[in-house]
Amino acid sequence: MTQSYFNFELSAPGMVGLLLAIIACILWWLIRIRQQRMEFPILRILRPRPSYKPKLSMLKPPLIPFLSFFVIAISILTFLSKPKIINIEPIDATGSKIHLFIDMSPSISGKISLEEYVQEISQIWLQLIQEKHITLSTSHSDEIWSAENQQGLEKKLYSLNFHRSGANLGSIIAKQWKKINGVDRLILISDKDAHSWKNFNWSYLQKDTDLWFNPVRKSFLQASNFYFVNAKHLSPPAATVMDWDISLARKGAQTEASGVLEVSLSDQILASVPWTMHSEQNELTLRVSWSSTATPSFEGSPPPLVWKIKPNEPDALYIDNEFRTSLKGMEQNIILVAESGGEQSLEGPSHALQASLKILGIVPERYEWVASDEHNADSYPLWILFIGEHDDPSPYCPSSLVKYRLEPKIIAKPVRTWLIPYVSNKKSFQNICWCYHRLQVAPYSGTPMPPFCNEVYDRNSLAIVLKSIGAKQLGGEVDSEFSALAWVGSDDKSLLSTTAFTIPIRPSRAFGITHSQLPLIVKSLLTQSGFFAEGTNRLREVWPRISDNVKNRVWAGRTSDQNEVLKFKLSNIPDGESLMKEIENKNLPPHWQNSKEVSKAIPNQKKVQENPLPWIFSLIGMILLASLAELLWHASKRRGLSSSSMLLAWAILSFEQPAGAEINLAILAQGSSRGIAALELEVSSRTSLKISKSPIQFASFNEKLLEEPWLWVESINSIKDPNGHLNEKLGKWLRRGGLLVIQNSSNLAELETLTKKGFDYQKLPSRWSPIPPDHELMRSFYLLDALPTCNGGLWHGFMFDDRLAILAVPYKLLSNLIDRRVRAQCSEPPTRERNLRIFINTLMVALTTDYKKDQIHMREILKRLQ
Amino acid sequence: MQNSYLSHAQLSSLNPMDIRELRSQFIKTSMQMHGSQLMALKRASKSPEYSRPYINGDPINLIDWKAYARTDSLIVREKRDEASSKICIIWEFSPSMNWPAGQGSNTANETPSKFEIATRIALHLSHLHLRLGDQATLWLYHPEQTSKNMSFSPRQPSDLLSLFNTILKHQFNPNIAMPFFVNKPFHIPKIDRLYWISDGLSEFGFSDLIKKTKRSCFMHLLSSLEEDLAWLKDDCCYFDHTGKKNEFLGKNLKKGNSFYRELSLWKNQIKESVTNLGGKYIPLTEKTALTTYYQFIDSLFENKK
Repeated sequence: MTQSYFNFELSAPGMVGLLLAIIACILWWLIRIRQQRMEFPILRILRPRPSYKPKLSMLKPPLIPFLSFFVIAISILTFLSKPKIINIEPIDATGSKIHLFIDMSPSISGKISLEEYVQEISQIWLQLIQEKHITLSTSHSDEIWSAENQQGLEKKLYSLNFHRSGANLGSIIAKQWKKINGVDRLILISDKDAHSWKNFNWSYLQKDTDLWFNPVRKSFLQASNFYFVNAKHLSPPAATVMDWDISLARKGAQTEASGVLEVSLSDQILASVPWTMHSEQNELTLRVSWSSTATPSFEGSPPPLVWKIKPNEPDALYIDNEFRTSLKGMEQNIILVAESGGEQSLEGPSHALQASLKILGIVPERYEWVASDEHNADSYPLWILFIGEHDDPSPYCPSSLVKYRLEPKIIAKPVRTWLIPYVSNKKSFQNICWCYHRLQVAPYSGTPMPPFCNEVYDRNSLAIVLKSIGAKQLGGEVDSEFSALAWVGSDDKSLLSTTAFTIPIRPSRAFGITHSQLPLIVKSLLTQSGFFAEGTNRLREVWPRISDNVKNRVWAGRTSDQNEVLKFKLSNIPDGESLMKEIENKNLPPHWQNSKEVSKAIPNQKKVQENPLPWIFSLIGMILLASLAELLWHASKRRGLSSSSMLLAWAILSFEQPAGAEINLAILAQGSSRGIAALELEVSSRTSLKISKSPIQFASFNEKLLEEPWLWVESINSIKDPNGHLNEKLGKWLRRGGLLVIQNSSNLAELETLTKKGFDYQKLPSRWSPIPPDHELMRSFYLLDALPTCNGGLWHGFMFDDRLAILAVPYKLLSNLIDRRVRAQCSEPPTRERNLRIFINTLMVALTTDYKKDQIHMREILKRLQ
Repeated sequence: MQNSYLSHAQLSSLNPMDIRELRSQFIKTSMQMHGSQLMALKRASKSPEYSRPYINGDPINLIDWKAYARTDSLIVREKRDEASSKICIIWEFSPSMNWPAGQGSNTANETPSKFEIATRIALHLSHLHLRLGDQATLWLYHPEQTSKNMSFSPRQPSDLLSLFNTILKHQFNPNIAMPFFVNKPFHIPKIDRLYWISDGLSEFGFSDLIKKTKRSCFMHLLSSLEEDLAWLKDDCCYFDHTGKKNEFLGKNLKKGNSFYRELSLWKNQIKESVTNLGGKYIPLTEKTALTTYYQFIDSLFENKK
């Protein structure tokens, strides 16, 4: 039978709250008493009598206010005290489930042999299996299994053996928890290795299960542990001598030690170097060389070089004495696709980049163009694609990459693509936009150029479009997207990342890149894309250290590629496992004494649910009811409003009001505005704003027009006085923040006369000027490259107080929007679409001025980027 | 009409200038010989109202022989002349006399302070005696701060009227009356009549003054709120800031009759101490009926007749 009870923990704020409530009660009572004192001189004739004592006595407060106060105080205290509902469900002891998690990480192999470990696990299993249902899992995979008998268990464990990849218990159990959730007891069989237990919040599991930890009883040998730190291949590709720098380290005893470092390829020993590590010496770098002729040739991919430390002393952890690297040490397969510069090849954009790569020891394969499926995407970890102004840019944006993203392999290799504009012009940028879209976004490989890429005119518009489809800024200033060097997007499944550059990567005075800077820039870019490891000049190894096998895709046998499985199994041991560092018992779950307390009873009940929501709602209800009761009481006594009733009224009034985004269009013009519905429809479908279908329209100036943030005027004559100055009320409204749009006006002298009076030029800079291309009007919603002129008439803006106060439009823009039949009286009348975009931008400026300048969120953005 | 007014009027509505209801006002008989004191010298009179039967030893020049001739009985017609008296009216001004003004309670605010009633009585008495041709001296006596004692000797009723109007205008604020008074040490010379208006809560040397004075009167003025505790709130604390610093809950004070018993005992003690020394005693509150007050004043002049 399920039982429920209410529980709360009195938190520190709760304690303070309780204390304050008590003090408040005492003060309330004292003040109440003290307030009602009165002098009564005749009392001096009375003899003091004990019967009159005490002077003060507890008074009975008015019932309803006191109850309200009490209920509110208790409710608030309960709020502060983390209320919970805890359902207790009884456990059927006979049918209880136990799960054994067996850690098979490398660090255990240093403490106990596989045979001993299997025997220990087998004993625990035998003792538990008598009464309970037992499931098992290991740190190899998220497979949950159960053994039929002892032999089956031992056979399975022997077949699994210790793995070379590290084990992060937290992430492994988190993965397995979905399958084992519901077990009544979880026993973790592991060691106390700090690397394994790192970031494992095991106490979270204690809420749901009975968690125990069965530690491996033995500890590491009192000896040093020798392990590999790094292996660097030094020789260039065509060198006759293979030079390697191998860094060894040790952990543990600091006595003098010696041994041999051996390197072999397919069991053939290539070199053997003796080494000596002096006392107090912890790290050692050895130069290992052999003739490249000694290396046998292989068809296909060569087997790894196997490095072995053979110390003369006993080693604490033997499993990490073996280290694998690729024969060449690093990947050099970079493909560079660029159109040839012909006779101008030395000045071609790709030449300088190739030179920089060579300086870094990388010789890319260069192609003029690539056929669609000529090269496998994952054969090259880096594709450098120079995209020019071709009508068909597909040879420079190969479909094999698209295919790689759309059909990701189970074991994905990171593939990076750099899209570099061949020249800095509109067509190149449009092609880059298309290629980026193709590589990162397009749902199939044959996607045509999306319409938004036609919006790309230059570097800035490229930045805006790429950002809008999810690319992240690389380089430049954080608060200025136009200064970005490139835009990066990546696909998590296929590990295909695309970096679209906004400038050609070559020495250029225009872009401020010198010949000496280019190699440094290229190296930084290689490091950023994960090609170079931080702090080294080596490319990433194909035999990596795998620190957490849960994150690897080989997990749970999801690949049939035996080579990949083998590589994973033979992967290098993580550094953390070699350090032999253990965590303290106080940071571990309670220990399971398997020999004595194997039959430790599982608690007959467990907490299965904590849901404070009903309590929170009921407490809010109680507070409201209590406040209401007090309010009614005060009203009935005609005592005015109490503090709680004020609070209640405030709470009711402050309920969220529906946000209204409807703007009235204020028009000072002749004629009707029947066609406004079409405009309203356009604005509401394109933005989140809505224009009222009934605009405020007057034929002559009326103060009601000034109730809106903007005013559209059809003719300048309707707003100026006989002297040609601006209407006084209108000027006051402008200074207060209004935006006046004067249509059909391009006479600058007339406009200057209009604002001659009322705007103090000395105090606040204000002036008429043509609308510049970087004005907020050009980018507040749509990106506009220019504003349409009309018979040579320009758009002018009157800036006042650092904002646009008056906008003079050279033609009747609004008339065209309201009535399609009305066309601007211009030699090249602008299209309705263009007018509509300008109108929406003007609407944004009227409502928000230059909101993109607003830096208020910059701190949060910077935090997110970090 | 007047009787009806008097039957309802209370001391709180006493107008100091109004002495119409007093029978004593008719005592004044001549312009030359006036005062509230009767002289010892007797002289013959023809007015029948002063007639009485002859007693052995009466001077024979007082016998009305014409009446003897008519009635064959000896009728004496005698008259004693009046003389101007020295009157001293002391009204106490102590913090307790200012009660219950400014106490914040509705009931207390609606009730006039004892000082107000004392002022009305003091001015009324001084006006009465001025009309009778006596010399009245008013003393504003502060029992706790003797340096604040002040006196005022009105020459004519208009002086009193002016003082009363000023005090009335300022809600009986004692400080307003100061310009009329002269600050001087409290000293009472030989006087014919003494009135002392006080609530009796302060220490005072009234007994010495009674001994020195032929006719003295102690007007024991309390507030009606001090005599009836029904107005007290149960949950309010009442205290006296002096001396014993007693503080009581209203409900405890109202419990039983102990307060009333002690109040009655205390008043009797004061009455006895005054009457034993030959003085007159009258307990007053603002609710005392004016008729009672007038009767008492009249009784003070009974000996004159």
